[in-house]
Amino acid sequence: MLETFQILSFLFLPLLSFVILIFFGKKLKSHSSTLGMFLIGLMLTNSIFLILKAEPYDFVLKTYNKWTLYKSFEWFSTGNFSISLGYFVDNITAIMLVVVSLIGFLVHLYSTEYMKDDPKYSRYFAFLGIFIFSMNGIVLADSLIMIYVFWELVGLSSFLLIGFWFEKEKPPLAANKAFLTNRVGDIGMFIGIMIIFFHVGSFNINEIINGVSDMNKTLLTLAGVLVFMGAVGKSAQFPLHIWLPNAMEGPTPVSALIHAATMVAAGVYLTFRIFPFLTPDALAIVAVIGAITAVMAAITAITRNDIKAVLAYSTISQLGYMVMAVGVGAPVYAFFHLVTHAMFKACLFLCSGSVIHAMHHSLHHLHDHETDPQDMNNMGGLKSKMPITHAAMLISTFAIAGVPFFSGFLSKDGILAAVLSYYYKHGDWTILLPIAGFGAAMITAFYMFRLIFKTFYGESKNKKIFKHIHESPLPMTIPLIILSVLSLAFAFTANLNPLVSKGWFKSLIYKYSKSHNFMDMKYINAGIDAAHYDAMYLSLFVASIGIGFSVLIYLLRKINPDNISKVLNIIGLFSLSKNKFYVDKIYNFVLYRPFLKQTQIASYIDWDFYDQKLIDAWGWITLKVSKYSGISDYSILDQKIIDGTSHLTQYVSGQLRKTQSGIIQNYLLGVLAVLVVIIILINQI
Amino acid sequence: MENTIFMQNSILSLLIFLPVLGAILMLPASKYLKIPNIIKYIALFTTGIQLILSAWLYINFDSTLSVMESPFTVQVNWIKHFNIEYFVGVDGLSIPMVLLTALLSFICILASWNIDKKPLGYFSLFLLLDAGMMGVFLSLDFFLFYIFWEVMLLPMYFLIGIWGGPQRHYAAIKFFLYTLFGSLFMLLAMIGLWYFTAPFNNNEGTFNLIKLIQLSPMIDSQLWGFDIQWLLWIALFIGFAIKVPVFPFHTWLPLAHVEAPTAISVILAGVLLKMGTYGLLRISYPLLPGEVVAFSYTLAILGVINILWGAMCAIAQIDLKKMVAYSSVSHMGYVLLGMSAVVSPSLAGAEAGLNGAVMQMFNHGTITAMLFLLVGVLYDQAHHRWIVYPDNYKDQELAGKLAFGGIATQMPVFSAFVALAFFAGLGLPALSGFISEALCFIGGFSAFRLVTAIGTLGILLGAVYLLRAYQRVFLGPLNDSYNKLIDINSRELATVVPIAFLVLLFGVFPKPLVDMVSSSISSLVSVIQGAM
Amino acid sequence: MNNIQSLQYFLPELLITITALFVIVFDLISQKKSNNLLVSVALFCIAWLLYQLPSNGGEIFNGMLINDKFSLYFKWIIFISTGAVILVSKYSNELDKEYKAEFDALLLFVLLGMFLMTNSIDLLMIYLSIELVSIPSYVLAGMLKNDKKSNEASLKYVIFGSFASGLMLFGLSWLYGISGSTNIYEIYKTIQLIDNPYMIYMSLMLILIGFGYKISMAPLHYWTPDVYEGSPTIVTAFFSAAPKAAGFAILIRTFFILFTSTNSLTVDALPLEGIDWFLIVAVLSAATMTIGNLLALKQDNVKRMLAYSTISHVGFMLMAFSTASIDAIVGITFYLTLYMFMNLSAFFMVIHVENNFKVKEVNQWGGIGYKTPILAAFMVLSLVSLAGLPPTSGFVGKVYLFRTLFATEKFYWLGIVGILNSVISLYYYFKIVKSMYFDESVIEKEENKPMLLYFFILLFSAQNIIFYFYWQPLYNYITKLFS
Repeated sequence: MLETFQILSFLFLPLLSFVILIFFGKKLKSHSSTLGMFLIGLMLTNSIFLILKAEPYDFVLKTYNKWTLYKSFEWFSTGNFSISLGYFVDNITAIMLVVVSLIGFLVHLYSTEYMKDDPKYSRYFAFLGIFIFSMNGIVLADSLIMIYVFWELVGLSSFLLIGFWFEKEKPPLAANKAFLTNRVGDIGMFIGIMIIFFHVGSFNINEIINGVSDMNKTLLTLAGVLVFMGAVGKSAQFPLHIWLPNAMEGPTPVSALIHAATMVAAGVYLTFRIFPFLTPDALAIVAVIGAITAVMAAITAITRNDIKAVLAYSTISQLGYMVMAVGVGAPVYAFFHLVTHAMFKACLFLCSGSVIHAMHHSLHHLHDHETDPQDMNNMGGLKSKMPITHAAMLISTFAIAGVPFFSGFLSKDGILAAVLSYYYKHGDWTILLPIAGFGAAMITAFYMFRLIFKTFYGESKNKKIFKHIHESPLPMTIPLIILSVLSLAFAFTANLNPLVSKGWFKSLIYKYSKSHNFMDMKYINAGIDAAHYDAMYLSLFVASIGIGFSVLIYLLRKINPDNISKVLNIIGLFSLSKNKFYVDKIYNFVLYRPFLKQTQIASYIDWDFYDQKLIDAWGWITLKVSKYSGISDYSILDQKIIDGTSHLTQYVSGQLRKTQSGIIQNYLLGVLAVLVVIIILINQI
Repeated sequence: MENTIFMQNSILSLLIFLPVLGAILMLPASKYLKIPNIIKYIALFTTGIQLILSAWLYINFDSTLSVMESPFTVQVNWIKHFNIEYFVGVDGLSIPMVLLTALLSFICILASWNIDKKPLGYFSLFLLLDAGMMGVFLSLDFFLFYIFWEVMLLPMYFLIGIWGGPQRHYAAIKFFLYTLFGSLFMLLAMIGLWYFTAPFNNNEGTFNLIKLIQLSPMIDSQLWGFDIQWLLWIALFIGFAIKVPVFPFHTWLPLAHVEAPTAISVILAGVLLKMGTYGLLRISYPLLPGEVVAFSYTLAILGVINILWGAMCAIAQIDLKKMVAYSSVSHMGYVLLGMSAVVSPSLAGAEAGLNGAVMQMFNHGTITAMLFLLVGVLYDQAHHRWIVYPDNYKDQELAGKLAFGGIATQMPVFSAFVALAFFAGLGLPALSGFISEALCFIGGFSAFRLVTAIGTLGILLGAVYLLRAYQRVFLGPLNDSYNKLIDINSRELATVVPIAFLVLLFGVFPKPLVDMVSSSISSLVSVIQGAM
Repeated sequence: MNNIQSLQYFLPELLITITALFVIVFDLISQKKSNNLLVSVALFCIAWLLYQLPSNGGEIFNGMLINDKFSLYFKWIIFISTGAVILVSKYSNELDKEYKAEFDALLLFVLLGMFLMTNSIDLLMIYLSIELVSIPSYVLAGMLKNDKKSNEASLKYVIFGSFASGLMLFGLSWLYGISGSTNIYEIYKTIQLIDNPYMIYMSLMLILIGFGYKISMAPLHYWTPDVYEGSPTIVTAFFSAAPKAAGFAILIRTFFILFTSTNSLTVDALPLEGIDWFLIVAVLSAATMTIGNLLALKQDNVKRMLAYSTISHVGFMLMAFSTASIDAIVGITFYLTLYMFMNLSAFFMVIHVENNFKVKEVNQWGGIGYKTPILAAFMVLSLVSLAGLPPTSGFVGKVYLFRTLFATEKFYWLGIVGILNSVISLYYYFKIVKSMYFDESVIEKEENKPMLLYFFILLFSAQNIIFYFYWQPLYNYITKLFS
């Protein structure tokens, strides 16, 4: 009971925050954030208590306890069909809860300062509350249908937060784009869930894992890929990644929380959860999509000048990594990367927020509303003015670039090893996967340092602005410090050897690499271990190349970036990057506009043609028929034929009987004619 | 105790005839009582009592009892010669509809408070309409059912024709003729059922729907080379399909909805459309199970066409109300899809589908009511409903331009409610539309995979038109022409809040709704599965 | 029964004759020129005599007429509608007060004729009674001496009427020629033995023309619109009600006795061997209702619209007649009763509107719903009933008509035609409703409210709702007529 209460508090606390703030936020004013922080703080404490209960894997004894808490409640039942809602808590859940709570809490803290002057202050925190509520719902869910429910709710909160500044032009559009793009994925997910349900008879994930074995493999592949489509939408994988860059229209802390650390990771989390029953074919598709995403987004990130856009594409790229990791059979490393990425990417975003905040204030001071505070071309040299931000950002950049001693190295290394071993095992076209993995790693290192150098180093581009830049206040820098500390490898291993990823964290999650319905995980794990060193050296190599180039071009300015772009453009790479691979444009011209046109045609057919012409035609025809039968009855028969006869008669008889109309006679003729016809017909019968 | 028995026996009749009484009382009251707004108060009072009675009915309703066991059932001979009975009863199929009707009627009276053009006529006709709707949902005698069905037409005709928008005359007659066209086929089917079942009942025809469940499947003669059952099904289907409306009989709907005054649009979309599907479930399904089995694939296809076509057309609309109207076409498609699931090989799927259909009937009733009410609120202030001005707008400078924009800044509470309604409309979980839509899909999928999979596109399209409209009307920079708009007032809030509450309640906690209907559905499913 | 004995069963007719004659004489000698009181008293007495009349008189006047429940019932409804017309006629502004007495007298003569039509069982009586109805009708149609249309109507009516009568007479003479008798029971004995169906077909068709002309069955409807439009409204109202009932009475009796193998009014009719006139009636019925509706659809004149609609209603009743079952004639009688009154109510309303507001076209009726709310509401009721929608007796009646198709399992296609026609009819009836309520009022005159007219409109319209909720007694009563 107490346990249930403890678990459900993860839902009720943020929901409470939402409800109170949405109804009484106006009265609470600036205390809104205090309340929100208090409730999320409670949740954070709670999550720490929870994770302390989690049972780690013992690498020496190779044993682990199956520590799980689960309970399910019938939501409703129609007799033979019922849907239950329930929670399923294991190590992974506990870790996710800590991540969500921690970053949620830090973002709250950060936002108290960042959003200080916003008139919709309390509403902002209310929305954060509903987001955390729905995110926790996904994390806790024990069934696919419940995941779907909260999946959509997360979409809603994302919609609300992206469109938070709805009085501006772009945020509402971005919010719509995010919601709708996600829905495309959700459709697939929903169909996938239904296919599985009608074969297994359950929505419960564990029951599905136990029950799919005798399912037709092709169908299961299809179902798996369809469910994965949900993840493609939510985790911004190619080809549904287009919404995430636009989502940066939301407040930056929101980007840190939702569009970097937690919500977008939900897709990976889902793929992780369904991994045991994804068929090898489905996994291959997953891996390929991840790889494409990782490379494409990384290339796109190179040419972004908007500081948040770089981070957005970098997020997409990193999510691609995680998805690829699941695809090649290393869900543990995917999850590892999910957590490390959550820390350093949240940190990066919050740092960028700090920079933007400073830029914004400076511009505000100058009454300059034209200059874009997010454009890196207006920055430069901020290092001296914002030391804490700079330090934090540098640390997290090291992390993302995969430099030893930083958390990203550990997880990325695992992923690359898995990808490499996947190639070793399958050969053939799968060479593309490691190429993508390592290539993206190199590009990541490059563009991340490009960001650092353009922002914090070199000469300031605009002296006026530069003059008024100040380091952000404490509520904003404290989260930066905490997160940058958590971006260190030490935080995850408690081990001073930078090259070993074993540690408390890995032991918590290691058991999840043990089972798969259709594959021998032992064999795969052995392969990953074997490829470990190859991967590590390679990744160190590519990372240093990336960083090196970045240093040469942006710090030391030995190479003019224009020349490089000219060289690259020989194969069109630069334009591709600059134009985000034309994906948005293609969608616009191939899908979106033709579709809108079609709806207009549909509407035209429906109303102007079908209804007005065809349906009303019945009325029209009836009226016409009635008119003409009236005419034939009166005008033609009576006036023309009969009067014509009459005129003829008059002509012949020399106006003898002027007064006679002749009408009646012809009526009678008609009657006689009918009579004769009937009699003839009768005789025919 | 005696009171309870009295209530049990008379509650259904009270529900039906109380509004009639109210309507009759209005005339002398308006003449002799010199109280301002007396007519409106009478209407409010009558529908209020009706609402309380229906709540009482709900509390005392036991869903596990069949109609014949239910203490509320009243069966009195009316016209002996024809075996017509005054036979009213309530079961799981009808009770959500009764509650919906009572609730929406009450709310619509509130929403009509501004009607100052011939209030006596408006409110008395409205109450007659109310009585007709109650009657349809409570009748268990086909003849009685038909009568109430037709009784509604007349008040509706006047309510649209007198109090409607600029094209009201056209809309009124079109609605009238179209529906009448359908219901006359129903009439033929009704008389046909009477005669064709008579041989199996000692040559005594009957309109009793409970008896007909046993009798009508025995019909096996032919006419013009067609099975008579098939002909009956087609005739009934045309009658009901026009009301639903099923593609391609749907074009009366946008017109009627757009031209009708707000409260009437609410009733039209909230209650009247449900009568079509209710009729199918109440009459066509149990009476002609064999035909249901044969027809369900077509029904599923029609459902999906409804979903997609309605949504496509909704996307293209530039009139907010017309968009909502087309969304009804789309949403009723879910009901059809859910209903078609009855032939599913999986019992769970069949039940999910049918339950989903009935729930969707209720939920769409509430959600669309909310949408129309809110559009009405906006229209009352802005005097137009354009999302984008049409190309042939009278003011050529404005033609093709965004009509609203940024209303949310000016009317935050109102916009929040609209957002709630829109999200409910696009099937967001935790709001009631989600569960019923999901159940319809799950049911439909268990029976017809591919068709349903195509239909799920409706999830996306629904979001497209609602969110696009929301963004274009409510979000973005405020259009300066509308900086005088004032937020929703308390009367308007009173109309919307109860519905919003239900939408939330049944979204989070659908159990009461499911429990109400599921046992009736189970027996319906077993009737039809028995015919497979 | 010989002539003297028969007189006791002939008292109402006698009183009608006497009253008619007396009205003319009174008009000649009286200076006051108002015979309202006289006519009212006379009508009351006729009613009383009708009430006294035993329904089982059997054949009277040596087998010329028959007094049975069937004829008595028809006499009642014919009497009530004609009486109402006579009483209401004094409010008609169209009629020349100078000729009011003639008008009353003519109506009474027609009434006599119609009474005879209901109980004629002799070819001669059949012919004579129809002529007795027709000839005063020609005059009635031309009552407006100075109106060109009225004159034209009268003339057309005369020519058409005599033409039809001539054909009918020709048909009757065939029968006489075949059988050598004029009593239809006697004739039946002969013709059932005849092998050659064409002879009987010939006479059947010719007789059908005679009757069809009276009830305006297509293609003998041509005279109807012209006559209805040209005649004074009150006369049109009359024409569209009582003579239709009489026409159906004689049609039913003659056809059921003569041209069926069952030779009775109390069992379902089966066709004479080789003579399937049911199909002919069915086709003509479809034609009649369709033509009537289509023609009514485009009319702008309310009176003319209602006149055409009469044709379509006749079509509906013929639809039931084509199945020739007892249910069918019960249904027809039932529908006829309801129809006469709803129709009269509508026509009286037209008279009222014409008198008060001087408007004739549908689109001039704008706002009448608010000018005279109670009457207009009842007008709506009548129109709904005419269209055959619940909650009105017209709906019940129509159900009975449709059900005969199912009951006899014949002519289902006719049901579809009927359905489509119902939809069409709704459109033009509701044109009036639309005009009354939706259109702007252009009328500024105040109405005056003659009590009697009010009373009749309300009464005849109220039956729409009364017989809707409780039609069982009436229906049972009618059923007994045919047992």
